[in-house]
Amino acid sequence: MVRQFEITGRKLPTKDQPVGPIYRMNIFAPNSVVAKSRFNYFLSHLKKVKRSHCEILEVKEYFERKPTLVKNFGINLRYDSRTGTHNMYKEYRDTSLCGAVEQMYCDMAARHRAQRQSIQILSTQVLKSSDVVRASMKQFIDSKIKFPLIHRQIRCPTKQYRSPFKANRPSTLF
Amino acid sequence: MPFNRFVEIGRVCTLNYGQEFGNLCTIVEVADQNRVVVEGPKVPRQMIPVKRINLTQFTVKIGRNARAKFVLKAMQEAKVQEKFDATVYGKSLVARRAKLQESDFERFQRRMAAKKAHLPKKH
Repeated sequence: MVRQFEITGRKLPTKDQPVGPIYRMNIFAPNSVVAKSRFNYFLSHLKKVKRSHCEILEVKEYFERKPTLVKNFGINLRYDSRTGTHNMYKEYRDTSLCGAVEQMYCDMAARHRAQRQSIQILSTQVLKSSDVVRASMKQFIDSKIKFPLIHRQIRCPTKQYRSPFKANRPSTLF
Repeated sequence: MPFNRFVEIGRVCTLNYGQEFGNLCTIVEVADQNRVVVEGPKVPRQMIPVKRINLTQFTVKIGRNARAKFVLKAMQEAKVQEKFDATVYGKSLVARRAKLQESDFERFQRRMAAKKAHLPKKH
């Protein structure tokens, strides 16, 4: 599961520059170790600060304030495909930003074969329902939404009842 | 075959997986095609995949993202639990729960009764 970290760091003070600028970045990563590594990676792209001359000052994790409320998230991203770099805008509905980012990673892997290391999240926004652009998300912003569930395989209520072979064909009705 | 049970806000469902198996809950919000937010008297508000719920024939009147207070009140006023316990699936769940709570002696009694019922009749 992706988690959101806010990482603050700076270039180590030198004789020439005893007080340097401080940089802060929001990073999505599975844990703080990876987050720090990604921070160094992105910072070295943007500024002349390498890992060996960088100091992490603070690692803060963000948690969702309302983890049961569904929100609309817009994500701006850039990714490296096999042939080039592309910018993209995507929308997801989820209860947390981290959930939306997770969805985005799965989506990018499925549609564009883009792995996590080749995706940069440029910005994320929580959208008002009137600001949602994508038709696939718009259809769910409806208080009178109504759709049937058609077919599925009924799952065992707990893992212990699972078996590779069944005596009867399953009923796929909901 | 027409459909008469829908994923919609206010649809009462049972959970078919995990610790809260068989507990009633109501759909409060539809996140997307596969996931909904549910809440019930014994189910904390959460987003779950629709694969983990069974839709029942009952609905209650609540607004989208209704607060817990209103959801539980609506479920109570509609007597959803009583009505569900009277359905075929509800009865089986009630029986299953009762069976789990039996004491040793009650289990023994049931076994004896079953044994007796299966014995060939003496002429």
